[in-house]
Amino acid sequence: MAACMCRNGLSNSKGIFDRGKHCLGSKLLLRSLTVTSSPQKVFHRLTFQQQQPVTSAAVSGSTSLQALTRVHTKTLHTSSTYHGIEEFFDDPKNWGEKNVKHGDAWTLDQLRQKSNVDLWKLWYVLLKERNMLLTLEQEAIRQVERMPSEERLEKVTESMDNLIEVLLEREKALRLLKTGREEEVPGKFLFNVFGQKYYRRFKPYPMPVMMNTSFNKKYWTFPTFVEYYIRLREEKYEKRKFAQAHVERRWWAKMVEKFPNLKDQKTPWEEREEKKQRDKEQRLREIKERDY
Amino acid sequence: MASSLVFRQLLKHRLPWHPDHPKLKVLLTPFCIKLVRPGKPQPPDTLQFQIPMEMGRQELKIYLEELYNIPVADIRVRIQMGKRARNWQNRMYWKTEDYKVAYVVMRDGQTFNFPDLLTKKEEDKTEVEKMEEQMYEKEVDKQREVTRRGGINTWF
Repeated sequence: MAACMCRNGLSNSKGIFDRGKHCLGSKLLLRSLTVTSSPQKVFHRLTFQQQQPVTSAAVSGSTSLQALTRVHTKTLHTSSTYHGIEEFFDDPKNWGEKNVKHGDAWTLDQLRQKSNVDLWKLWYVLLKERNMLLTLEQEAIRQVERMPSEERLEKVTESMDNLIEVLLEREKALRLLKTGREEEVPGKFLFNVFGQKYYRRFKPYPMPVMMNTSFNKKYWTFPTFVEYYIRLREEKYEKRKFAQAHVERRWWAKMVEKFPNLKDQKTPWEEREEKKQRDKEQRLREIKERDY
Repeated sequence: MASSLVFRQLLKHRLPWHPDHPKLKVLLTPFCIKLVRPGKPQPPDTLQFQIPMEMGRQELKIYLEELYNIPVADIRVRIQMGKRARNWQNRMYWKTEDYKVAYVVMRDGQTFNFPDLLTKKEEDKTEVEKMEEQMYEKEVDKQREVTRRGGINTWF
C-alpha cells in the first residue's frame, strides 16, 4: 500500500532491482574464523546481558573511599544502554533528516593496534550498525525515497572487511610460527578424470595416499584417450579468445578513426599484458624478499 | 545450540570429537538481517525480518536473544522468490536474488509498531513540498468521496 503512494514519482527511485548485500557472502564463509574453546567462557550467554548495577549497600562493609570508587567505575561503560528492537533503527533525532553526521571507516592501521578481544567487541558494534543501515535502506527502497547519507553502509562494510583482514593476518602469522605453512589446510593441484586441473584440499583418510593405489588410478590420473579431448578443449578455448581479440581490435580501429589522438596511445590489450607482466614480477619479488 | 552457528563449510571437514580436539566455537557471525515493514498487516507482537538464505530459524533465535535481547516465542520462515523482469527489445532477462523471510513472534506480551523513519520534519519542508502535500491530500479526499458514493459523479 505504501509502495503505491509514491508522491515524488519515480525520479528519486534508486535501483529498485538492486538490493543491498545482506550477507557477507561466500567470501567469509569459506574462510574459517574460529577459535578453539578456552577455559574462559567468553562465548557464554551472560556476556551479552546487561551488567547488574552494584549498589553502595553491597560494599557497606568497606568504608574506605577507594573501594567505593572502584565499584562505581566498574558499572561505568560507554556502550549503548538500551537494548531491544530500538537498535534496528537510528537515533530518533536523525529520523527524517537528509544528511546524518558520521565518521570515517576503520582503517587497517587503526585496527592493527587493537587487541583480539577489542576487535571481537567491535565486530558486533559494526554488525548492529550494519543491520540498522540495511533496515533503513530497505525502508527507503520501499517508500521510493533516497536513503539519508547512504555512504555510511559502504564505510561499515569496508571497516568490517578490514577487521577480518587483520584477524586473518594474525591467524596466518600464528600458523607460520606453529606449522611453517601459510594455508590452514594443505592442498595441491591435481588432474581430474577428464584431464582438468583443480585444487584439492587434503582431508584425513584411514589409509595413507601412497598405499592406496587403486584410488590414485581412479581419481588422480586420466586415461590416455582423454588427451585427445584435452587438445580439443584447448582449441575451443583458444578460438574463443581469438574471436574476442578480433572484436576488440575492430572496435579499437573504429575508435581510432573517431578520435585520431588515440593512435599514439597504447592499445588496451597491450596495457593488459604489461600489467600482467608487472604483477608477475611483483609476485616474484615478494616471494624472494620474504624469509621465514 | 551454539554448534548450529558454526559455519557449514567447517562442519564438513571436521574430525570426530575427541577430548584432545577441542570443539569449534563461533567468534564472529557473518549474518546480517534487516527488519522490514510488513506488507500484509500482521498482529502487533510479530516482527518481519529478511534474513540470508544460509540462516536457519534456530540461529535467528540465538541471534535475536543474545545480540538484541528480544524475547522470542516462535519463528516461521519462508523463502521469497525474487522478481523477474525482461526487456522485450533486447531479449534480456534478469531476476533479483531470492531471500528468506522470517516472522518472529515475541514473548512477554511485547508489541511493536514500525516507525516512520523517512517522514520529513515540518521545519525542513520547502514551499513546493508543502503545496505538493496539500494537492496530494486533496486528491485523496476526492478519491475517498468517489468511493463513498460508489463511483457515481457528484452532479448525479
